[in-house]
Amino acid sequence: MTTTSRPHGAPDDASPGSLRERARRAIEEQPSPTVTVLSSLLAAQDELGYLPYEAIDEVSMCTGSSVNEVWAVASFYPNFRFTPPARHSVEICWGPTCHVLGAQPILQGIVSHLGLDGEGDTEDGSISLKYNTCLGVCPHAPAMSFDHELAGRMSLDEAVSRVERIRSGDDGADGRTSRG
Amino acid sequence: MTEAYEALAKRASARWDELHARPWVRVGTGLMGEAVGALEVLAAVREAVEKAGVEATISEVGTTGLCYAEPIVDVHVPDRPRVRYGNVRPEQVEAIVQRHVIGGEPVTELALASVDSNVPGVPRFEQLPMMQGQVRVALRNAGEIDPTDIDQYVARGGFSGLDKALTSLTTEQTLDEVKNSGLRGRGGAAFSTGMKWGFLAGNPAPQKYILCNCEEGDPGAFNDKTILESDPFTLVEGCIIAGYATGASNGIVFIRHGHDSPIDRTRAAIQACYDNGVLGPSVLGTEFSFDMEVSLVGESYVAGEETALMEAIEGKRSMPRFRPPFPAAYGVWGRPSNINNIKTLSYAPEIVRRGAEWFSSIGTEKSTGTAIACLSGDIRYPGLVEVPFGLTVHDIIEGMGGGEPNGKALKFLQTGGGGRRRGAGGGGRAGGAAPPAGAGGAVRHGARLRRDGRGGRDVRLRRPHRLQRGAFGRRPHAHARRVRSDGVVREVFPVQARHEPHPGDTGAHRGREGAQQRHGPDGARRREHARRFALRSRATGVQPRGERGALLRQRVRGATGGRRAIPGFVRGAEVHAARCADVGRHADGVGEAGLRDAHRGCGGSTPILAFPHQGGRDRTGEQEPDGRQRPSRGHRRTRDGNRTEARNEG
Repeated sequence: MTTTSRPHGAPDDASPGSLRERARRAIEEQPSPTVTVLSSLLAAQDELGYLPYEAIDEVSMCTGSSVNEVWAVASFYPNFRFTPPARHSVEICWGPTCHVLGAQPILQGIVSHLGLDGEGDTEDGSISLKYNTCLGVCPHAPAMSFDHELAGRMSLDEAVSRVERIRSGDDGADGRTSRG
Repeated sequence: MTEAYEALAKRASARWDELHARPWVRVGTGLMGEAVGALEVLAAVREAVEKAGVEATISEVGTTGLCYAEPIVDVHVPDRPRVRYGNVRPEQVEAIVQRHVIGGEPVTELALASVDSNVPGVPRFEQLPMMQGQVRVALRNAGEIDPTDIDQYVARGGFSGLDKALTSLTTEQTLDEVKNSGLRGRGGAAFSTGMKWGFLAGNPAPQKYILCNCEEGDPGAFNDKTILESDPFTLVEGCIIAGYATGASNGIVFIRHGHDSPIDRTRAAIQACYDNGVLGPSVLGTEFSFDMEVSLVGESYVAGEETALMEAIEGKRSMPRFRPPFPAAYGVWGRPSNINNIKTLSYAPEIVRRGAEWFSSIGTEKSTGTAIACLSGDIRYPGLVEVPFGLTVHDIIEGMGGGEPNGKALKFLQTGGGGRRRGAGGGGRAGGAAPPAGAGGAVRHGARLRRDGRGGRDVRLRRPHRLQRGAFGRRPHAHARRVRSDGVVREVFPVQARHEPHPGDTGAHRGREGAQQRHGPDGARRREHARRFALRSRATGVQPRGERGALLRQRVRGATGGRRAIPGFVRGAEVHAARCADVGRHADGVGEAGLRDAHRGCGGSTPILAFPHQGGRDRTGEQEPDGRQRPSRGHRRTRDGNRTEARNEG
């Protein structure tokens, strides 16, 4: 995880479609009546896939908190990321049920298939691999999720073919899903 | 019956008849279904129905709990048997639609079970092994209704409990009903729900909160999420009833970010309640007003703890707060709050509707009602069962769960989700023999489910345990241990030392309320902080000699956060100093000077009134090393005096 630094000297880009503008809109359009630092951060990350400096700054302005306070919250929860995610996300559950029913061989197989050492992004920026402690579908263990679509009763072969499928569906367009 | 409810019920009944007057296909989606392709099946059903040009209603429902058979398609055709199909693949949908929806004849070779009807060669739903012995209260609508359609909920008796409470029961009577039902918190601590509500009801504040905890972080637990995605209205109704019984004004449902299906369905349900006058300034046309919303939290296991949860709702880091003050006095946004698990609140509508006696007749004497158990792992029928308390683990695993899929003997069983002290991570051998010595949290076959807050949480260990106090091994004195009847030590833990009053302590400062009046809730919190440091340093006393002084100094400083004489902290520091002195006598090299030094660290200017071992020697008039004069002993400086001092220094 690298910290997001402010692009010093760069003009503040507030044009429509810029990160700042998108973050602001996401923060303003939250469905819940109660808006907090945390809910704003979640909304911004849902929109952008990660939290760039602009998002932190927008959250601090919209909630009236200092940037430090916003950072304190953002750095506490492990589901926030501060670098742009890969185009697709793959999550593997390694909770107890999935472990009992064979998540480890799948996990190791996928890691070596992607050429990774563990969690992380592939070098070509196509896949972000993440371990999850429980995806919440234990009866269908072992479970994975591909671009936030749950898949249960997995095998290694099935997992590899699903990974290749989302990768091949990647025609250079930004297929990144909203959640990072 | 309120007029609003009457109108709602009338409309719902008409809608229910309308739904049953033509074919109705229900597909179990949500987390459970989606993971095994229910969305593809749903798309196939829509396509097949459209292609056939038949008038049929297609609904997305939650899960029936029979997760081994997902995706499940439930087909109702007027005047024909209703059948649930299990493990449906998209390519089988065509046959089901053609033969059952259009032809009216169930496809027996694909059928899982028939519902409310007999079909030759197909078992009845309630006779499936997994359904036998289930008593469905919280899950009564799971898999039956569209979780976003308020009419379907009302048609199955929804909101009649709320209506009964609002029209024929006072708030006290509603509270009594829940108290008498014997309902205990399903989150893990098994505390009496009625009593907990009573704490909040006793607080006269105008704005109070009911928090519904769906921060279900335990791996292997999926029942809260299932309730929310299968029947969120039950939770909403339970939350409003809790609000009515306790005089609360707001409800917040707290869900982990990322579980889209429960979040979306709960939001939709809340919106539907607002649209139909069930939530808002006038609940069902009465004077009672109640608002609800969904609050999301990032991934954080500890956020399930109630005060950490309140921090997260306020948008901060989910770190637990010190208690007291307890949530019923100082909760979310500083307002009195009550936190219940989703399951706990989901029982409230049926308790009010059918009465406390009905509920307490289910289960055992002290653990009334039902438990929702999540089965997963190497088991034939993984899924969700709602069973009355008192059933054995064997009944559930071997009976409802179908045992091991390959006919092998069950080797290891982990119970959890409801057991922090005894059950957490409690692996268990299930061989029928007694668990081996030292197998932490082991569960024997035949252990019973119960939740009376005394012994185990979900699983009772049959051997009685006893508590012993004393020094064990190398531990200092103030410890207790829990010993099983066969002599196996299950747990050793420090216990709080008895509070010995300070000689200069008149007791006037005591009590949470007193502290709050004088210093506000935060003052009470700081004072408590210091007190705990003091007690802890006493209870865990043994430390290397040379480091003791440094350690104690550090603690006192740490307790004040380096700030200067904070009102409300002073007394705590004094107690602390007394403790230090007491311990200090036994540890050379610290002594009074060191302690005074340490004490000065917590504010510098706060004179120590007396140390216990000085036998109350009057040190009035003595000069402190910093040249200030001590106040006379027993003379309690006023709070204002303290404040002035603090300001002067600041």
